[in-house]
Amino acid sequence: MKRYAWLALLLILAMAVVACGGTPTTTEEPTISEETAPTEAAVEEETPAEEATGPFRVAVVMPSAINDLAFSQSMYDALTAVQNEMGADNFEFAYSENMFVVDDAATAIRDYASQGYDLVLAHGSQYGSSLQEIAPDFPDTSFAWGTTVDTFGIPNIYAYEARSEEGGYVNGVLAAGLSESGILGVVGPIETGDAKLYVDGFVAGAKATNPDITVNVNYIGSFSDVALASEAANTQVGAGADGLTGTAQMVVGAIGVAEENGVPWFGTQSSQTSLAPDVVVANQVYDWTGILNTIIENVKNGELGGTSFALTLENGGLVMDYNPDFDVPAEAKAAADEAAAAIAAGTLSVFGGETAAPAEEPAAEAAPITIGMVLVGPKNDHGWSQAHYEGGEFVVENMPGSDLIVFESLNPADKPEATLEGVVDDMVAEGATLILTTSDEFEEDTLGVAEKYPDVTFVNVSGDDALTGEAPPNLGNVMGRMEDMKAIAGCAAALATETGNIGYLGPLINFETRRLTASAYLGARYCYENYRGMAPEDLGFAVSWIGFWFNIPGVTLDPTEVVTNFFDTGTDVVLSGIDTTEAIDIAGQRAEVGDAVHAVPYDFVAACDIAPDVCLGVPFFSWGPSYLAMAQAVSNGTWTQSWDWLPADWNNLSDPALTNVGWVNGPALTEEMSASLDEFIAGMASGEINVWAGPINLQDGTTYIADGATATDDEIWYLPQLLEGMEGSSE
Amino acid sequence: MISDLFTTTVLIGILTSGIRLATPYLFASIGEMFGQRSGVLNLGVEGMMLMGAFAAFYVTLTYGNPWLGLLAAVIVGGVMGLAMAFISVTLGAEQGISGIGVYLFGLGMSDLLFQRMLGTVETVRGFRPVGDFFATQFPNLLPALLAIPIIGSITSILAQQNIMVYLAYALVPVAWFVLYRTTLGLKIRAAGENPAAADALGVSVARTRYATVTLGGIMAGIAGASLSIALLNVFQQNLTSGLGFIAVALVYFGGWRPYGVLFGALLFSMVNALQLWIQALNIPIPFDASELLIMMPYVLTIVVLIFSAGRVRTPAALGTPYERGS
Repeated sequence: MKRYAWLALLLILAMAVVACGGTPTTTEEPTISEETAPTEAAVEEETPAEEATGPFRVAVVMPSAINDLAFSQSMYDALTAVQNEMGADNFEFAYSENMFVVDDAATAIRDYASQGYDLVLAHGSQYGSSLQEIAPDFPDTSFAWGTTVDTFGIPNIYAYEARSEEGGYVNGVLAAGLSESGILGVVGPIETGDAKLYVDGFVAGAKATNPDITVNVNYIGSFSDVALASEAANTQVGAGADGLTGTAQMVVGAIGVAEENGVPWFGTQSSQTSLAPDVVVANQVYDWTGILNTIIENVKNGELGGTSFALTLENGGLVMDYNPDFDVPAEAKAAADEAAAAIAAGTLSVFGGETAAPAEEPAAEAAPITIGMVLVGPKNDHGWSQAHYEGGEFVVENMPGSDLIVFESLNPADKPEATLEGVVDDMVAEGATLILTTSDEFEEDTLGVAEKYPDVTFVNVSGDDALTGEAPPNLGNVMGRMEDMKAIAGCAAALATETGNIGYLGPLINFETRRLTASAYLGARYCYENYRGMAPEDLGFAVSWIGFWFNIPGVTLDPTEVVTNFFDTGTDVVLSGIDTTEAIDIAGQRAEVGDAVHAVPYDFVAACDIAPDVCLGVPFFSWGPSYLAMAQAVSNGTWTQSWDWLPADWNNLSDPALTNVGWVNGPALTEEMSASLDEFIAGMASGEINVWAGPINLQDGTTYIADGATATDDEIWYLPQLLEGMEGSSE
Repeated sequence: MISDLFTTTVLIGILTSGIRLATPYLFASIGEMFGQRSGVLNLGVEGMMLMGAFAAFYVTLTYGNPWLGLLAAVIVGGVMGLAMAFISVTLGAEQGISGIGVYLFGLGMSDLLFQRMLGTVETVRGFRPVGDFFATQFPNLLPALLAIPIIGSITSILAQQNIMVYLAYALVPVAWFVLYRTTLGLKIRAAGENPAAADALGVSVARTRYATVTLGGIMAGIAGASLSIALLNVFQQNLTSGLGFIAVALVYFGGWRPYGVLFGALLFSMVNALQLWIQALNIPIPFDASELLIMMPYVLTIVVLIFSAGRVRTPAALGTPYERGS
């Protein structure tokens, strides 16, 4: 019978041919066949020339079947979509499926490359090392593989991945929202790559929605064992799970179990709704079309690789596909939508250490960060620096776990040896990711350190580098619209003055101090005329600049002397424009000895406490709300450069938790004064009163704002001189 | 906690899963055992299972009757067994190689048919758990039984199984009886131990081997059907994913004896069920590696093989084609 041996061999061979025949398939039009494919030698010489003509040809090698309702199908569907978009005449693709043996896949990849395909996709992370060997042999062919970010530094390899944890998170939020038993089950293949990301994302989403939920995870150790996947799902149901998910092509077994037991299923990779329409709630669907289009465009332009791409919710590569026949409770759906939107917007990071964020308000939560704050004065100065310091404290209170590193009194008088750069070096070393330099004194140095540390976010108060475009992208500016508050302060002074002479204790001369001082004057003039019935030109308004933000003996004028001098020369109200409290200190002392004087301190909400009897009120900064918004944005990675000139919240003008700049009426205001002041404030809030309405002349008599016009932001911000009617130097 | 494992729910769960998981192995291994006892090593079991699984699935999907599907699996498996018998007995080909050929044929053909005839993964309504039947026919019976302490647990395990599971376990004593208590069994064993002597005594070695290999094919087909229309109710390319090869290994493991095979299949499945539950319950194990758990069934199987080596004897003529007078 030995002579039959050849027959047996032939039979076996025939069977093997049949077996393999089902696998490499092509969707090309029948006219395109092997004979048109150039030989390997020809390809290497003339591929680039050919690319311009003829259809774009793509080949893909996939580990499982094109209809696996999972990973391979997602790519097949995308290729089909691209073909439909470009037309079969312009785009062809061939595929080899079920290439679970890596050696076979490597052979297929090499074959496709030598057949002159423009782009060869190795659709499986297990193909990486093969591709690394093959790609350099075909420098004119573009290769892409995934899911990974690694192009091996080879110029003709693209990498692509799916951020499957994003949809995993959304599915997790949904599942936790639907679950009544508080137990969810996951059927995973092998704890690696895409599958692990998805599963971890699912767990994170579920835990974020319901911290008490239990998520049981099974990794069955196989991408193909449907029977074991099915039994794992049975196990999960047995262990009490009332929501199931899973990833990779063997989950069809688990979906069957979910359907049989009526347990909601959350799909990923492809839409699995068709398999179990009664229980599939939603699917995270991979849409590779966008990435494919980009790669194809690049290849056509001669760029063959070197980049890695990712599918995300943000770029539309990941799509949440809900089963229209599954009735999702509105609340769970809303939470899922919100999570998806937040992930897409970048305000929610899946593994961002979000601890138990209630799904209703994920935006309010942000991971703790370390904030550096450089103060020009001491943090308890009852003025400018304390207002910043309290803003920093406000952030820490509202972002538990955050650290605030404060460096006080950075100025040549107190700490001549310290430099902003040195201070910032230390803060960065301590892990600060947001550094606030809270004086325009620091403007120039902040520019320098911002360039030195491009990964740290800097905000300078109250520079304008972000407005002028000088600032690098990691440097922003913020300032409150103190001008309006200063106008109120001026008004209060005008209402209170008996002598008709108001003094303004100014720090140094720059745009900021000029415009603030001018606003106070304009407010005073308005109220002097409209509420006191006096001629505005009779109002005396003297500005005395001491030379810095606070007293530096031997360097600046002594503010105590200046204020005393004001009161000794017929001025009965002093407005403070400096960081410290001398104006109200002296006014209080003078009142105790019987002088009828008043003061308006500055910056700090509680500054009136020093001498309530003489205090007409205080215009204050409240940095808390704006600093908190910045810190949250930095934490979530959504901070972008801006120049903010933050307005007051007119409805909550005295509440530091809500407004950025504010005003508090002082105890020294009489009822009549209060009534007038409130009227003035209401007029400003409604826009009826604008103290910056023309005609306004500069100190040298030139017209700055014409009659009938109002000053623009830029005109206010960059006020070149003091105004006509003010005494004091402009430069 | 480890103690979480020893609750009634979990123990019932493990037993239910383990018993169910063993089903395809039992069908395929018992069938393979007959073939090997008669001297033919059939490595094509996996391919036959795939073909049987597809046939059963397609027929059930089309006609809505799982019994018809089962019949289709029997026919397809039988035909493939017959082909294997032709190659290995009539043509006398090398059995290992021809078995691989049959496997590849089954793998590719079932895939091709699936692509052409279905195109996408679907579910089918196959055999239901017997509990469903009792629940509709005798609505009061199950709740009453389930309420009794131990009997309730057993009832719960039994009620969750479908008819194919019962068939698989019923097969074991039948196989034992046929092999050791009937003339046919004697002929089979003779053909595998000493085909020349059997031939001399008037036993047709070829006919016996045709019968056992065809039976093996039928059983493999049923094993496939037990997956596609009873346990999973889906069909996908390469649905069996190596189950058929494990079934062949279980024949060696079981020492070519029905109860040995039963022991092997149950051990393998129970340990698999156990590791699924350990993972699902988040029970901390040393080294904290799910990979270790996944390896458990295989490691245990190897360990048992090592300890049982030498105590069982391979059929003397296994793998050898018989040619009269040679």
